[in-house]
Order: sequence, then C-alpha cells, then structure tokens
Amino acid sequence: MKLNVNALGTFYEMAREGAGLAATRLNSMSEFESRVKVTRLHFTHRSEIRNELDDGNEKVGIRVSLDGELSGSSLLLFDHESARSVVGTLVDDVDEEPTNELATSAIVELCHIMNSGFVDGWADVLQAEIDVSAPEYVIGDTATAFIDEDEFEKMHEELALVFQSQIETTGTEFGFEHYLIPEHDSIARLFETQTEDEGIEYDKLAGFDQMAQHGATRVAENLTRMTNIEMDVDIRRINFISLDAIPETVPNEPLVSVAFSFSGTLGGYLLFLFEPQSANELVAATVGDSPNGGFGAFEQDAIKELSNVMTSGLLDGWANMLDATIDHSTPAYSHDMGAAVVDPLIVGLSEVQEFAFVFDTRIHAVDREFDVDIYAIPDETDLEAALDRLDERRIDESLEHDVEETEFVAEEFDPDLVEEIAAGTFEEVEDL
Amino acid sequence: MKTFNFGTDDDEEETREERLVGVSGYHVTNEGETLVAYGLGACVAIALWDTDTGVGALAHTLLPRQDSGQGASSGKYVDAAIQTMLREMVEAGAGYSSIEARLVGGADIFELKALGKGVGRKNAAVAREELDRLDVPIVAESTGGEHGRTVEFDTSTGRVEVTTAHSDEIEVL
Repeated sequence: MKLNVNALGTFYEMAREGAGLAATRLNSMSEFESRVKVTRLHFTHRSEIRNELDDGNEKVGIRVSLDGELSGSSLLLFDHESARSVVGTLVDDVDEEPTNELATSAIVELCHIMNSGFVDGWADVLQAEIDVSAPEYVIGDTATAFIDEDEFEKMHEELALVFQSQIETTGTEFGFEHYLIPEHDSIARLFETQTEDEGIEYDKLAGFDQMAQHGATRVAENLTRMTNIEMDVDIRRINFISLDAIPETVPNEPLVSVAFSFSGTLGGYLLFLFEPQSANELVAATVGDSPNGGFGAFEQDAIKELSNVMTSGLLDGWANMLDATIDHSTPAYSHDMGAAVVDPLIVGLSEVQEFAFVFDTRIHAVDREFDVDIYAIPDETDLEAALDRLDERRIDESLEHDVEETEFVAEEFDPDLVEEIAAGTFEEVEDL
Repeated sequence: MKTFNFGTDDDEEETREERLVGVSGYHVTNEGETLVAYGLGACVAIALWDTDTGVGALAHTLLPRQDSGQGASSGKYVDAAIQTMLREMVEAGAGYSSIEARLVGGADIFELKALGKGVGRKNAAVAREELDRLDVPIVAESTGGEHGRTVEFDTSTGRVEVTTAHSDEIEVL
C-alpha cells in the first residue's frame, strides 16, 4: 500500500471535521461550549495504543464496530469526571455516577449521536457505505475494556494507524477522546482507491520507523550514560498532522527548547523541549550544578551541547538507514512558551507544505518526574523521495549493524568541552 | 487539560466567553467576546475593532501573503486575513471608517539560518503595508523582539492585553 500525502490530508481533514461535528452535537445536547482541540493521525506501534488506553484512569463511553468500506472500531471516551458532568447536564435529578442505569443510557445516547456525525462524514467523502453496529457501553481503566485482543491482532504490529481527536470545553476541565482505529486491510483498500501511483510505501515507512525507534532507544541509553539517570523511550510514533495544528499539541507553558535545522538528502527541523526543571536536572547530572544558579549561559550551553549529541545520534541513524548525508545546524536556544517555539519552524515549512509527518519521541526518566520531548519534522517532499529510494533490505542491514554496534555513534561529552562551557569559552561551529 | 474561560460565576463582568483563535484561524464577533491567541512566535495576530459599534476581529496569521505558502485557509495569510476580516466586520455591522488595528507578535525566536532572517518581522511588515493600503490605522503594536506573546482581545472594550513568558507585566495596547 502507498500512502499518498493528498489522500492522507483528505483523511485527516475528514477526521478533524468529523470531530467538529461531534463537538457540535455535544453542544446542542448539553450545556457545554466545546470545540475540537486537536486531531491527530498517528502511525504507531500497536502496543502504544494499548499503553495509552491502559493509563489507569477510568474512562467511560461507547465502542462501535464499523464494517463495509471502512472497517474497524470507533471509540468515544470521556474521563470519569467529565462523564459525570455530561450526565448532569443531560438528565435532571439523577445519580451522575456512570454505573447508574439512567446515566449509562444518557452517555450511550450522546456518544452514539456524536459518533454518527463522525461516521456520516466519512461515508459522504468516501461515497461509500459504512455499517455501524449498535453502540456498546464501555467503562474501565485498562485497554482490554475498550479493545479486545482480536482487534489488536488485526492492527499493523509496527505501524498501526489511529485517528485521535480531543474535544475541550470552555470553563470546565474536560476530558474526551475519540479514537478511530481502522483494520489494516481496510485502510489499505481505502488507500488503493484514493491513491494513484505516487506515495510513500507503507512498509518502507514502517521500516524507517523501526530504525527511528532504535535511534530513540540509543539516545535514551546515551543519556543514561551521560547523566547516570536511567532513561527510557516513553512514546514513539509518527504523527501526520496539519502544520497549523502542531502548536496545539505542545504544552502552553514556558519550556526550555533547542532547535536544529537539518539538510542534505533529507531536510527539516528537529526540536527538543524540556520542562525547566527537567532541563536543570539534566544539566546538573551531566556537568554539575550551576556555578551561578538559575538557567544562565552555562546551563544554556550545556543543554545545547546535550541536544547536539542527541541530534547527531538521531540523524546519523537516519542517514545510515537512507544511505544519505544529513547535516545539521548548530543548536539554537530559546526559553519560551511551547507554542511560540514551534511556530517559527512551522512558518518555515508552511511555505512548501500544508501537512507534515512529525516523528514524535518522548524520553523519560524511569524513576523521576522528568522527560524530554523530541519533534523531528522532515520536509515532506524530501521524506517521500528518500523513502522511495530506500532499499528494504537496508532496513534489516541497518538494524543488524545497530545491534552489533556496542557504542553509541554520537560523541560522548568531552571533558574539555565541559571545561570550555564552564569557562565560557565554548565556541560553536559555523551555522548551516 | 487547558480550558479557556477565566471567569467566575459570581462576577458577571468576568464571565464573558473567551474564544481561542488557533494558528491560521480568525474570528469576527459583535457579541463582546474576548478573543485569545496563545504563543505567538513568528506568527502575527491582527486585532481589528470598530470603535463605534464594538465589532471586533482577531486573526492568528502564519505567513505574509497568499502566494507565499500552501493551503487555502483565509486566516493563514496576513493579507487575506485582513481583507476577509474587514469584509466580515462590515457585514456584521461595523463602519469601515471607524475600524482601528493593533498588531502583536512577529518575533524571531530562534537564530536558525534555514528559517531566514526576520521571518516574524516580515509578517508584521506585510500587515502594516496591507492595513495602510486599505486605510485602516494602526493605533498600537507589540511586535518584533525575541520572545513569544499571548494576546487577549476584549471586543467589548477594545482592550488588547499582551503577556509573555518572561515578565509578569501585562502590556495593554
């Protein structure tokens, strides 16, 4: 199957508009003023879908099976408190607990109406019939409460496709997620009808993602060695998203960020986002506590260099896989609101594309509360061309090479460099 | 989870609805809403307000001109957003001659050569050119620099508040 970006864009817009319809229906039935916060089209390992649903927080909603031109599952889930709030606006004088029979009926009815709008939108655009099963009430805090094992088995193991939309409301804390999880064979048929010859071969994207997964793991291992803090890869996925929507996926709070541009066979941007506390802990663990306190020039140089090492590791892996040359710029630092640091990169890419594949990675400390978010946003045309040239045998070779390699390819922190940073004499090489 | 209503039930003045205007979005209102654009980096927010009728509009623009990027969204481009908002404001009851403009954003957050110099400044410059061409006066602006901004535009009063991650002070335009 080939993934044509135009077809992906159409599917993305359908999902976003469908979620908008669902929000409108929520507004008309309840007292909430809601809107779609963000719609994502993820390509992710199916175990990550399980992990996300398995987060220990109780969710309440419906599951609907889809069949016909589009088969799979549609899940509409409120978090427990939001479900109570919704019931409170739908039914007077009722116990709002979602185990109450009246409350359950209200949630099922509302979700069913929201879901119908979503599915009708898809059917209209695809000019196809989609059969919808009766809604099944679901409640629980584990993945199997929402998706059974058979359904998981039908997903692509390495790169399952998921449409996910969040709806938020004005004035109240509100948690609502819509998941559309198509069966792989179904989505493959859909792409065949929508896609001409051009596009990204699904298996190549899956192979490339496998390599990216290894790259992320190596970065986590390398960070562990440099900081003596055990780090692990928490999230790995490819997010196909409208460039306009990317800022809404980033926390709207001050973040320490380091950006790079990369160029060559594959061009684009790489962005590291650290919560200030995480940045402080990483720097302290790597080069020691600040001589001056706060996050001054010393810490900024250190976090830039740390990000530089991670960038080299990630991009070397990509270049090796693609048998290509990828150069990257020197690091650019900012400490600002999350959305504000993403938007210059989006401005840069928006001149040539409307959507982007965002390689989204979160590396977190195993036994501490801190993490690093890494967004790699390649130029879409470059990515398509590079994957088109990718020999699938190279995927296996690259992975074998990776296994044999005992040391991380990126440079370790050079003690001289640490001294240079501390002495304020650290000089960066010429920017690209 | 982020919410975007900062009002309280016992203060009617504070309960006016806040509407988030996302990247490439715009909104025109004659209902006194407060329009909010978060985290403007190189993007430029254009706030238009009719001093007579209180009709207001806010755009969260990404690129300077319609021929400079991909995608057809009217709120994406500075020139198209200004033209579209002015037209819709007049349709909503505004008088063209009493509309004034405020600009926020257009910073250069990162020094990356691949981004080119002054991407944010260019957005702001095109906004000034387009507003001048259309005879809409700019009464205030908070643009340029190296820091992101959030803008809150109360269309019931015309008050525009600008905040940054680097200061507790609120800049009023």
